[in-house]
Formats: sequence, C-alpha cells, structure tokens
Amino acid sequence: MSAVHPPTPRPSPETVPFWEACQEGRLILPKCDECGFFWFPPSSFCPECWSPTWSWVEADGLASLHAFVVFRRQYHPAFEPPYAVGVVHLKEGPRILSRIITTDLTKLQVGMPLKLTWDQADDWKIPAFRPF
Amino acid sequence: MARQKVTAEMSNPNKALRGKYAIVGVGQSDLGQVPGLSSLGLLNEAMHNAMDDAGLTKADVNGVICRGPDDIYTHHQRMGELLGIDAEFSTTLDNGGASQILSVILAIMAIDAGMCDVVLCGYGRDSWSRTHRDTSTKMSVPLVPPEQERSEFNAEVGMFGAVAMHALGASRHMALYGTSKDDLGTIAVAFREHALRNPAAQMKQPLSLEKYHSGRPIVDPFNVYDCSLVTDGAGAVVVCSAERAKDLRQTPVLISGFGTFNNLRGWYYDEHMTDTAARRSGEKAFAMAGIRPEDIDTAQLYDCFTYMVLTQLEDYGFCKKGEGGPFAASGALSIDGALPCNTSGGQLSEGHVEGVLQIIEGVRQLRHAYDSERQVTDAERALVSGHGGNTVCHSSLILERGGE
Ligand SMILES: [Zn+2]
Repeated sequence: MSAVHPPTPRPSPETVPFWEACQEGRLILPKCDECGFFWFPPSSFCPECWSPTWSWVEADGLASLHAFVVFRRQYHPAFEPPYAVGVVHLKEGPRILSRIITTDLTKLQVGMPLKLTWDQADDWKIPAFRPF
Repeated sequence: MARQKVTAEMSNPNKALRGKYAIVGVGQSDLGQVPGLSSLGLLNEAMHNAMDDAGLTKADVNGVICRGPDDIYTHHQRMGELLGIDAEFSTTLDNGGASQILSVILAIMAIDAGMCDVVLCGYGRDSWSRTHRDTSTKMSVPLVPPEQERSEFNAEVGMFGAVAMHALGASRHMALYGTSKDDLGTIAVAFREHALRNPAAQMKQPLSLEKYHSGRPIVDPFNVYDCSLVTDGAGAVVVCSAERAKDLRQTPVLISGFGTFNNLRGWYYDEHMTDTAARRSGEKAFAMAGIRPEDIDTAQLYDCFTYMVLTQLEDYGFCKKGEGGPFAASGALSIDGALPCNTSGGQLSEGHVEGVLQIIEGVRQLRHAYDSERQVTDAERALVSGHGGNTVCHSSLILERGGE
C-alpha cells in the first residue's frame, strides 16, 4: 500500500520562523512593538500602524470558533470525511484557519471556546484546535 | 479585533457620468458542455455575437478588456490576436468574479478619459471540459491551477476549494441570524424555476425544496444545490457613449450607476463573512444613480453559492441585515415577485461564467427582449453584481432602459 501524504505547508521567507516554532509545539504570532497589535499571516510590517518593529510572541492557545464547515466530500486522500475546519478567533486577536478536532461534529457551535492542540502530518506539526 | 480606522470620507463615483455610457451589444456562447472549444474559442464566439448584436464591425472597436481564465498570461493580447484587432486601450483584469462589472467600469473610465471609444469586454472558460477531460483522473484536474492555491495556511488543515470558503460565511450567518437550510433552498429553487424558462440554461430538471434537501452533501452547510455549476461558456458586452448608442441597432441600456468595494483585509476579518463588500459597493452605485433599492425592478446577483445571494439581498438594502432568509422565502425572488432575481437561472442553474451572464441578462430584461413568461414586466432598472476572491472584492452596476 502506498502511503498517502497530506499536503504540507510551503513556507514563505516571512513564515519560516512561525513553522519552526510549530515544530517545537509553540504557536507564535507577530506582535507590534509600537501599537501592540497582533496579526496573521506573518509579514514585515504591522498592518495596523505600519511599524517595522515587532516581535514574535507565543499565543496562549485560547480561542473561540468564528465559523466552521464540515467536509462531507473527499477532496484529498489524506483527509477522510467527515471532518471540520474552522476559522479560529485567537484570544490575541488574529483569526486563523484550523482543523477542529472533535469526536462529535454535531456539537460544534459558532462562538464556542477552543484550545490549541497539534496535528501530526508526516514530519510536520500543524496547529489545530479542539473544544474544551 | 480592531475595526479599520475611518480615515477619510468614502468617495462616490462621479454623478456626471450617470447615463453617459451604455451597453449596446451583448453576446454569449453555448453553455454547459461545449466540446471542441477552448476558453479563447468560447470567448471569441461570445465577442462575435456581442458585436453582431450591436450592429458594429471590428473596425469600430478600439478597446478590449478581458478577465483572464486564470491560466493564460496577457489574455487580452491572445484574444485581440484572434479578433484581428489592435486596440488603443486593452488589459486583462484579475479581480475574480468582480472583474466583469469592473471591465465595464474601466471601459467607461477609459472612454471618458479619451483613451478609446468602443470597448469589447468579456470572459470565457472551458471549465466543464477541462475538469472532465479524463474522468478517471477527474480529481487531479483542478479547476484552479495549483500555483494559484495558497501555499500554506490552507490545504495542510484540510481546507480545499471555494465551496468550503463560502460555506464558512453561511455557517456564521446561520449562527448569528437563525438563517436556515430552507432559506438557502428557496433561493436554489427560485433560480431553477427561472432556468426552466431559459432554453440556453444548463439545468433542465425542476427542483423542489424536498429535492434540494436530499442533495449530495459537499461541505456543510452546502450541498450540491447550493453550488453554482461547472460550465463551458463565455459572454461579452460592448460599451460606448450613450450619444453613439442612439444610432445603433438595439435599445440602449444606460449605465446609471456603478460602485466597487474591496474587503482586502480578508474573508476572516471583522464581519466580512456576513456584512460583505456588497454593502459599500452598492451604496456608491445607488448614490451615483440617485435611486434607492426599492427603485430596482430586477436584480441579477452573483450567485456562486446560495448564501451569497442571501447576504447580498441584505447588504444591498433590499431587506434588513439578518432578514435575507425570510425575504427569499417570501417568494420575492421569483419572476413575478417583489424583486425578480437571476431571471436567467443564474450561475446556480443557467451556467457559471463568472458574472458576465448576469450583465447580459440585466441588459436583455431592460431591452424587453423576452416573451411574457420570461420578461420582468415593465423593467426599467436593473442591479447587477459581481464578486471575487472569495467575496471580498465586489462590484455593482445599475442599468437603466434608454430612450427608443
Ligand atoms: Zn502597530
């Protein structure tokens, strides 16, 4: 049987530090040194005040579910439906797309609290979230 | 999340342009499964048809604006080569489904700036043929070329395709406003009913609400009937001054308003999923035309998915935010309803050609081109919409029936 490989990220120069931290089990976000704004995806300037000075800050892993979908059709051999993908509103402010890990898809609700967990895909650790 | 700072008054398109330009020709290719024609071939057919419709020849055209079919670089040059036209003004737009209306707006801007006089605009794509060329490898022939997919923060979490991206918005709207699958279904059912009156439409079978609910699940909350069609097809329109239009073959359809807005901070940002760029795009178009939503006789809304119609009904002000579901369920969208909508069947049931067919249908309704069962009675004004980039880029067009 041939192994089914999930799609892996192809980082850009700006996102390499983010993915390196993920491999150590840390979710980090750019935070502006000038105005305190957190943003995502990572980039060289604060999109709020355009400051070029900012730092990587570890997120505390708490979030809420902004919106979600449940895949019923199979789009990729590595992703067996049904499974949920959501837009996760991190406590720090940014919203990111994430797998929502749950044993009961019918219990998912917009607004519900979520906590960071990790998905292992081949050699990659991918951030994911689960209700708690 | 911080709201975007309001740094300046919103600008509105120049009211002096109201009614100064017109759409004088429209044309389309066959729709559905059209073997033997490439994207360029389909568009070539539509552009020839639009020019015939206008009663113009290629010597009259000095502007060509295309939306590229995603995989051809400087598409307008390839198109001009096939048409045998050198143009004083020409470009390819990349604004997704907002591109078709943007083409018309850009044509007006170019003509008004003295760059050209008669502009041919259009889009075509062999979307059905390219995804069904070899049924055994259907899954490996993507509609969107792989190099255009996001390289990270997408597929590695299991996110694939436009269906899921738009379904996210429906999920949030349902949670915030109690919108139901029935509400989405009434939109699909109304447009299918219109398609049955349109011999060119891809879908020929009736659709009941019951059948809608039994549709093959794709990505909840969308099933197959919430999704627009995969279509081989093309459409084109001809734009020139209202002055010039007086001497041409067809009843001119005047462009009385247009507007654009782009939620470039993205689909996930702020409330962009449920308060879309249609709102400000529409406000600009209505301000320019000097009319209100209740003055619109028919709306041709960009219906890539059922939910996008529902939110646009709210965002354009045809009903209050959150009431799009009940508004659609009231029967308002049917041909004899309060707001006859997507009277050709729309992209859900006529064929998905990235919004160009919506402009064409608006024009034909205002020409009173149809027999009574397909014609919106006494239609004087139409609203046409387009959006792209997962509904963050939006453009609006208000059309008005010109003098005889
Ligand atoms: Zn800042």
